[in-house]
Amino acid sequence: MGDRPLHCSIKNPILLTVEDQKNAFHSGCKVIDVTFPNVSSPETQTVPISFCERVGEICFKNYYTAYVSIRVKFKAAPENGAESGEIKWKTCVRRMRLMPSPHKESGSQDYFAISKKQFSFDISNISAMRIILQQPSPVWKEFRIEDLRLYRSSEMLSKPPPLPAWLTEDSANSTKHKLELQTKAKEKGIPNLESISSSLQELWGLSEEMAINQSKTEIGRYEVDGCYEVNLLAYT
Amino acid sequence: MADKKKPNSADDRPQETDRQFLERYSIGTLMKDVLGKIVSNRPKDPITFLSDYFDSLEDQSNLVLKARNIIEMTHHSRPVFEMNVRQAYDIMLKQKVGKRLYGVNGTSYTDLIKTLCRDMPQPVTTKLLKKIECLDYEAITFDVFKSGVFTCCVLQDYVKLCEMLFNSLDFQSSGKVDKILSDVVNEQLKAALANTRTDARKIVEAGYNLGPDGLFYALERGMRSKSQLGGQTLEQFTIEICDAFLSKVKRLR
Repeated sequence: MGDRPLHCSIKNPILLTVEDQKNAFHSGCKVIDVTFPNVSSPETQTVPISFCERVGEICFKNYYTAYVSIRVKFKAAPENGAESGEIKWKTCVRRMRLMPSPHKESGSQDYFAISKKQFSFDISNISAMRIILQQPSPVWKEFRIEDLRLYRSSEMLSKPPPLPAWLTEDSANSTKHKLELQTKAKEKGIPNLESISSSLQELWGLSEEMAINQSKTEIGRYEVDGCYEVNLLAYT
Repeated sequence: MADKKKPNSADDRPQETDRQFLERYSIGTLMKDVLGKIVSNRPKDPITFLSDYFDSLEDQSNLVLKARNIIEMTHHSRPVFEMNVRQAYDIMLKQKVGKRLYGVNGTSYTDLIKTLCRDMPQPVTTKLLKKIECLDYEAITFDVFKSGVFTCCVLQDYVKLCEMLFNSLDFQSSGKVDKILSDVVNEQLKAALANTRTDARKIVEAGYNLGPDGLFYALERGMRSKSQLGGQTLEQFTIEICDAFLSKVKRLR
């Protein structure tokens, strides 16, 4: 999750229903369409098909969704140049369980990250993605996923920044550590490291104290460009 | 026949004469003042305080000196300090500035600052004045006065601390400090002061750099470099360290 999330356009979830005069019911199934707007320049492509090269990780926060499936649509392999071939939807993640029991609370507001290992195949060169949310329980009328983000790769490209020295210190106040430091300092020829340090800290404290108490009022100078000329003031 | 002469009115009605004698010189009010000042200022050494107070009573004519003595009665960290500064300001308000005009103007303010900083190296005072000085004819409000006086008092403490630091750094007690060490120390201090007050992470970092650990590493690095830059006297050292302090003094606009 080291890179910035992929640029994509996420549409609002659409509730799927089976519209029938007699049998209107809450289906408990929603679909989120994700497209990848075209970022390359218009000159290179004659047909503006937007696609995404690779998706390594999908992260989101759950809100009462029980199962999630992900289907991807591959970029059509052009057979006659500009003509598009068959467009296929393939299921990448099939009915992944987010909540152990759909009626209960557990897992309902957790954060999830679906990595490459959970994909059925590597997602590459897709033109669209559909995320299907399912919530069979009648208890939760409203369900969705929040903060959806796609990442190009799931490995950390760079190591995390090293922790600052003051954080990795192991109990700097321990007497053993202090003695060690004193002996090291004496070897180098610095006899009283502690007193130097405490003097410096006091100097720091004094300066900060003074800085806080500086007057904020203006002295009320009426100078214009550094010179005080009453006639000039009349014109400003 | 000299011994037959009685001493002047010493024995005639002693109680009234004593009281009259004291009242003649308003010793009563004087004593009340001194006792009041001792109680509110709580000096560490009351006897010295008393003797300094009585010494300063002679400087009645010079308002600036009077003001200075009042300001120096107590340490700037105590709440009484502000009251003393107010009193000093009130005294200086009596200064005649022009025809029928009384108040604190730039000249008396500058005089006060200069006399408060009399124990510091001259370059430090000059730099300080560049930041907080006021033009001679300007009227000084109490706010500006208080801020300037406070800065001077803190600077007095700061200069004394500089001397202590100098003695700590002077490993061989030779009266001079290695310029390399002084540079390292100065750098650490400036780095600590450069950070803004609100960034908590930077404050912790600055504290670490000035603590024994961070300081040790910085000093070690400095000592490893073989260059010889000579020594610095106390005055030069103080001037350089005070630069860090003065960078935090807000310039009066």
